Amino acid sequence: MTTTALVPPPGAAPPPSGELKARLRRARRKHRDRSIGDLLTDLYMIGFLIAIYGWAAIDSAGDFLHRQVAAAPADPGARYWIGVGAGIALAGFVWQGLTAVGPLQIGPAVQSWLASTPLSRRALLAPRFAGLVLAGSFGAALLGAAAAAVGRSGGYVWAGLAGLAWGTAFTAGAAAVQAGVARRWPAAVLSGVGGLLVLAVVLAHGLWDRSPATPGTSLLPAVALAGVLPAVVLLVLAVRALPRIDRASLSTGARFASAASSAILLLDPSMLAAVVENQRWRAVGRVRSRRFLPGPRWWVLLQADLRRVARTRAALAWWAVLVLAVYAVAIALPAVAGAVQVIAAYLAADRFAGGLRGISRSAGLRRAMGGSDASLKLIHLVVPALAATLWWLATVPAVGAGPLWLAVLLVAGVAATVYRAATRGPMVYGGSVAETPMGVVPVDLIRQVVRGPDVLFVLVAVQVLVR
Amino acid sequence: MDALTVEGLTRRFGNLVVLDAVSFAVAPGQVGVVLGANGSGKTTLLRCVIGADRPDEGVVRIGAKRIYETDAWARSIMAAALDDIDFFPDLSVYEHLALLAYAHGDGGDPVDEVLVELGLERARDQLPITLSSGQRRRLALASCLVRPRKVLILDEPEQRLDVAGRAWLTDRLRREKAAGTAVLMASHDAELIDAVADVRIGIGG
Repeated sequence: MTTTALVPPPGAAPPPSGELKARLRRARRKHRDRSIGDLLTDLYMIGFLIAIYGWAAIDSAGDFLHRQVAAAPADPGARYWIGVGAGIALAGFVWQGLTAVGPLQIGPAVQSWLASTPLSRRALLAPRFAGLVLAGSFGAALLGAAAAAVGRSGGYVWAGLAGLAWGTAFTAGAAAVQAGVARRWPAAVLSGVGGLLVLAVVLAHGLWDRSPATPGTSLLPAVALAGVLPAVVLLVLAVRALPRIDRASLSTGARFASAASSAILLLDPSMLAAVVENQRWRAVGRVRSRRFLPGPRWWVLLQADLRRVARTRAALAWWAVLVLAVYAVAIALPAVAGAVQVIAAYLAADRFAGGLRGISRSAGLRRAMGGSDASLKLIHLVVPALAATLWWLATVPAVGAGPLWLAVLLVAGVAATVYRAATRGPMVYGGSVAETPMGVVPVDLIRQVVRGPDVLFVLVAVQVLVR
Repeated sequence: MDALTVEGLTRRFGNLVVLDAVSFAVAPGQVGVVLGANGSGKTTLLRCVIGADRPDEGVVRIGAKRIYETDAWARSIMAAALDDIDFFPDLSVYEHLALLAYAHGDGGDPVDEVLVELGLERARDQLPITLSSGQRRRLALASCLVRPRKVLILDEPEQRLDVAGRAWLTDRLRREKAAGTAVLMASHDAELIDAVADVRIGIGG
């Protein structure tokens, strides 16, 4: 093997990373008129509002939950184990989400002007990693305590400690996955185990009218203590692996984060949806092109939409998971099963509305296809409407059939909700404004944001009032 | 000889093979030009070489040493101007370049000289949002010059440059060759390619 003398270029002795970052901070501060005091005031206000509204939300959620439990008592064992299964599955989704968005990210400017330099990767990422782990651990601790408060089951401290331990383990573990020193499989395992547990309880309850017993003592201390070792191991692993996190993985999550923050700031979820959809199709890469069966234009367009569905298997899985969720809710919280059925029907059908969204947001595409806008949109509504109908039929055994007119009304309403949400126009930020306690809000913007959910709200009200 | 060597580089998106076992070498003082139609994977190849994208297979070496983007040494010798460059909205043109020069130990061309050479001296104190697309392109190219480099990666550097800018680019690439820099670039400009190319790398069929 040839040996090569690798001599650094002349003058290339990079400065200490601390000095470089301090220089950047000083330079950027010169062009900003926002002081540290302003920042702290904003943070205080955000924290204050979260504390006030968060406590009110926990209190209201607890009241609501207990009213529903009292209105239609359920088997406590089934409810408990469905809750455990849902929690485990949720943990899998959280792991999946964290590894999909990074979790460590750097913005495009930092990529171009800092990450491309010899600045130590550990020095670049250490503050972000510390912030991520602190936010993850304390955020999960707060969520754990809040969940215990909503359930009014006591054990707030253990719930908080469990959140702290597992929040640390998950955020550090996801960073270790990003560095390539840990694996992604826990996401599939946790989601699978959680889902199977819920399925087992639902089947045992539905087919044999049997439910597992509630454990005699609280599992929270065991859950909290079991999280300590993974938290410590993954934290050490992630800290040691920080220098191995490359620019490719740091930029992937940045696209999601940028789209997510724009979507929140501009109240436009389609921004995030577009990035997610692009990523999904990019992962598919190539498909097998086939001729369409001959027929009128609507028939060919319908075939194209069906083909689109066949290429999004995740939408089919999501459809099935939502069916199971309604069965689980019908056992654990029967009083809210009707409302959940309506909302979940929309969530299931909306994933099949990719064609409708595509045709609605592109005037050029509609011009190219020919025919009227209305006919094009209606043709692309057939598949989501069909998905909603089949989904409704699959959940009838869980919630009950009810009067036929109600079922027809609700399914048609869900299809209308999907249509309104998918044909939402581009956001317009001008127009008249309304003064609210939360500040000035553009009226037209609100109208656009609630387009779709408004119909869903009416449907839930009808379902609750009639049943 | 610390040649830039790419061996068996493969990149797939799902089941779509964009780069299929691409191999080539560019020696110091040579310009390697990646040629191919739109969509043939030129930018993807350059992104894989600098580590902005992960190849599914294959290696990139400088001399005998394998290049990893996480290696500070690799970043210290490899300058790149791709289309994905972004800017700090609150730093001026000069501050961007000064920051980069400082981060590399000031081993490149002096910032003031580079500003003059690229015709950016009048935009020196402007924030990036006020720059035209051509000026942004010049700033991206300037970012490669204010830092030391043994390898220079450019993605269609002639894009958005005016006639004088293209003439400057040809001259600059010749000087890079004379200085012993290995240049790898994608281009559609036949005149530029004929003037500077030593190695032609055809991809995408």
